[in-house]
Amino acid sequence: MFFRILRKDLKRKKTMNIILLVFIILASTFAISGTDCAVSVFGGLDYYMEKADAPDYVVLMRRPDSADQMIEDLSAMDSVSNCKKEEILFFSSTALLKNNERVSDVTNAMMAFSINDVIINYFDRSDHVIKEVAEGEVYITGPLCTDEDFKIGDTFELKLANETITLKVAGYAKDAIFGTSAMGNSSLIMNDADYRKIRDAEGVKNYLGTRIYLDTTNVEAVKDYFGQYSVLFDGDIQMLKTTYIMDMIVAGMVVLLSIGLLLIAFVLLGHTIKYSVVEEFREIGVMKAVGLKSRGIRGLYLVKYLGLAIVGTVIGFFLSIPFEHALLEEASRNMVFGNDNLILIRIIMAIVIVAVVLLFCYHSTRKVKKLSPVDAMRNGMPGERYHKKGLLSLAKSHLPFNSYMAANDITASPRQYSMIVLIFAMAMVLIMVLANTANTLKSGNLVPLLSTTKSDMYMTLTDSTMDAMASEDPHALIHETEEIERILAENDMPANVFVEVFYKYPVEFNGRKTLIQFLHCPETKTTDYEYTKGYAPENKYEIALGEVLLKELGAEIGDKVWITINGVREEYRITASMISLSQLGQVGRLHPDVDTHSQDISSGYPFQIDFDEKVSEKEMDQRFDRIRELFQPQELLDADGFVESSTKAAPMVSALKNLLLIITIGVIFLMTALMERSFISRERREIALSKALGVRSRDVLIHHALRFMFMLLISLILAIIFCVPATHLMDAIFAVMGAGKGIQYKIVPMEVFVVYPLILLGVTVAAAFLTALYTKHIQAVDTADVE
Amino acid sequence: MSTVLEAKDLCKTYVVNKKQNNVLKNVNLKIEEGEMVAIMGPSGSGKSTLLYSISGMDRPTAGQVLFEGKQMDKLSDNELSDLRLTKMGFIFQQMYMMRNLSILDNVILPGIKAKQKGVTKKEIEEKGRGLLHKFDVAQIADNDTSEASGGQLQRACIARSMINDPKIIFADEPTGALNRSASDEVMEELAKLNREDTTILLVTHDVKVAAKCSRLLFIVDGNIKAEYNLGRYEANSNLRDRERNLSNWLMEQGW
Repeated sequence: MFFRILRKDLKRKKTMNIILLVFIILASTFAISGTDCAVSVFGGLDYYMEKADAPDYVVLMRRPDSADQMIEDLSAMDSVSNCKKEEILFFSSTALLKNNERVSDVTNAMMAFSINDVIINYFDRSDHVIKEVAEGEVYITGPLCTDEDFKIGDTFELKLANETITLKVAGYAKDAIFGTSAMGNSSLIMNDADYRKIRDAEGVKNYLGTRIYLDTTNVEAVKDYFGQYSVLFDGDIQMLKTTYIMDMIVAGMVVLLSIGLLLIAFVLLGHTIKYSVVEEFREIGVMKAVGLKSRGIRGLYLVKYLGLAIVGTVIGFFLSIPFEHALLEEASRNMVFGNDNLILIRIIMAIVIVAVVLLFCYHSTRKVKKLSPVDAMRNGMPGERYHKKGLLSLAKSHLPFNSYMAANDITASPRQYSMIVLIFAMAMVLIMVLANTANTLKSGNLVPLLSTTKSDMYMTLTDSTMDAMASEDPHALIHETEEIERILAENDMPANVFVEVFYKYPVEFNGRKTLIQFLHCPETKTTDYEYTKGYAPENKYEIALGEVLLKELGAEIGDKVWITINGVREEYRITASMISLSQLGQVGRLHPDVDTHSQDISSGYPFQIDFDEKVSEKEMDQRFDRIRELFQPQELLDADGFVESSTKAAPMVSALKNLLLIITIGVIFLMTALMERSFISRERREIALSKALGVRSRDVLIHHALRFMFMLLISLILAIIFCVPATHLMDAIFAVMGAGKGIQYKIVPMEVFVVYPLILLGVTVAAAFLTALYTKHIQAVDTADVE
Repeated sequence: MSTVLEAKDLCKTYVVNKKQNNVLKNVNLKIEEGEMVAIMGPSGSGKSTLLYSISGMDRPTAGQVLFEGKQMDKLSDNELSDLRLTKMGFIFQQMYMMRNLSILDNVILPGIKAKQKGVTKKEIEEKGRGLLHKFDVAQIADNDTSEASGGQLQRACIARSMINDPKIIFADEPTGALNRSASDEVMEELAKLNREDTTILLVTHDVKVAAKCSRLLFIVDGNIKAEYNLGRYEANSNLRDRERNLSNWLMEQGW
């Protein structure tokens, strides 16, 4: 008897049961993939570093001669173990050619090394450790992987000095230390024979560099040791982990997105179960009338939902695998995500979903106790308690008929509809926040936060910077800027050209030595830049330091630090604090009068070009073309482009926003369709009645579509209200990047308040309309047998 | 008196599980203006199917239905909707109402939907209130549909059926879900409407209900087997005699 009732129920209430099943599948897909993402991401960095066999400390230096002495010194330290060096070739993207022409515009310095010499593990895209590279082939890492000209199977030439070798891209690799978006160094992992061939060629010696990897129990002692040398890069594992900040932010957003989707699915599921039980008052009443006890009836529903939950969760279990890959794809380009217990976690989550569904069911079926045979006898009317009249009055309303009916439905069941409104609003706010963040990360508004000034153009000439770094001329870069100015003037584009350069100098404070990157530009004034406290340095013995550095050193404005510049150790006063998105805020500024030496350059901004006269937009476009022809720079950007290129985060955030938009469109379409279908199921009687009274099918259709349109419009209003405050939640992300204050977000009203809402509105109305077409099957005559 | 509604050789066939079920078999009938006609018959004889087929809520399989001389089966779905909205009134057994609307809003809904130019919503509201007052349920006008008794709701449904001054009211067992006293009250209201020249066609099982009608059609196996003319039920008619006569006649028909 029990199972006969169950079988009948599954057959007769096919539509609602299918809707429930779909929601369970959604919930389990989101829950399992979301948990996997969360577990992978939160333990992700440690897992990746462990798999990559990353050391406690890494040093990158240009001149390999002093490396042996360093290894000897470090190995003698009690706290240091496992100190190894690795030889590399160091060059710019101009060394990569195809048919003798430059092919890559990657701006940061590149490295090449032999697979036989590697100390840490490199992974391919399938997360397998790369152990060998065939002769003539190469694995590439870092920004080069996204270069259109370096697809797998493509060939290119590496030309250093007079030696050229041809290499075929065997695959993309993940470099745990230098390949992150923050470090941005591309590498070529080569076969040993290929590497030896080019490194032994005449003139290639100038390109040699060294990487030192070591494990230590005393990072401070190692830092102090390297404080006396001017190396290109040194950092401990904690610092290396901070270079993953953008990857972690993206991964964190993915987790948030998963949790959001999970909540949406659970809320919808709870709602659907609750209402499907409530709608069955008649069956419940009849069952009670024939003598079934409340417990038995609840058992019936529990068995039904257990069946649905098991089927739904098994399907969701398998769907979650590709879904999780899609979610983590953006974040996993630079990382190896994983956990040795993922299968177990998946199974546990699947069981949790089944339990949650049963819990919802148990909770929702509490009403069974309240329902009596009378409810069935009286057909739930009057005395039906699950609705109330709307707040509006048909006679007094100025709305057209269909709009009134839609608006009245919403006001009559505020709880039910507010849940949908809230979900729509949350999805919209999330998209708006990501769009605002992505737009800000490529907006000229952020130029001051990059500790430089707004210019007409930003031109990257990696070779010029690298040549200057290797030059004996202390002012090589100044001469380079003068040369650029001369060429521009000759070509009727008179301009002021300058370049902001990072110099790495040892700084001592309270007996502690550390290497700090200082920005320095002889052709600007210190007052051109923004500071958070204090005053701009007024003479060569005054400096500004990043707030992050001040905190790390324990120093304050007014304190004096010792800095060794060009071998001369002198005292400098801190006059100001600053925030910067550059170097994660760990940066200082020197007065222009400080006499720096090109050899101490650790990296540099692009050459900045400010034209002498005001240039029209059209003329500016032409100048971009002409300057590209004249200098063939790696990059030539305006202020917006410069910010985008410097923060490197905009493409990831944009990609995440697009992913979110696609998922939101899918979820909203599905949610709208399923909700509308369940509404139709519940409102069958009303639909038949209105048709019997003479309301046309088209009006019913419009009424149903308008209901969702109104909900989306209310959501839009809420989303617009919360857009700006919610966007400021992203301050936390900028804070991690080095500048949490004073972010001027760029909000593009057309995109944020028109385009995305219109897309979602279109999707919602389309889903509601298409689903509401089913109402055409409900005829006036159905008033006779709706019960 | 002119003919409001006429059915000619009306057939309605349902196909369930590939089995053909001829519910109506060549039914012919005429309803004259001002009549109050009851359709009676055993369960499954096709009473409700006949009502829905001649009221334009369902389409017959064969035959013709003429409303005010116009062939209804030739009308489109939209034209049928308009006809139901403006010229017909409906009363159902289950006092169906829109759950999210107040009782008054339910009553005026067809009025608002059919609103002609020059008529204000205010006027329609006043008319709705007037009808509720007429059927003695004005006090529940602004109530939720769950805040009224069955009898009150059915009176409100009668008021709703009258909002567009229909030519005819169709009622499918209008007292089927009511107790005796509520049933009597509702039938008194319908009889009153009929005395005001509203044409009414209703389906019932109840002799007491049918006794208040002017004519009775007895349907068996999808065909009108016989009809009985009771004459108009006036305020001073002897209801008991009418009931007795009708019962006797029905017994003769095998009821």
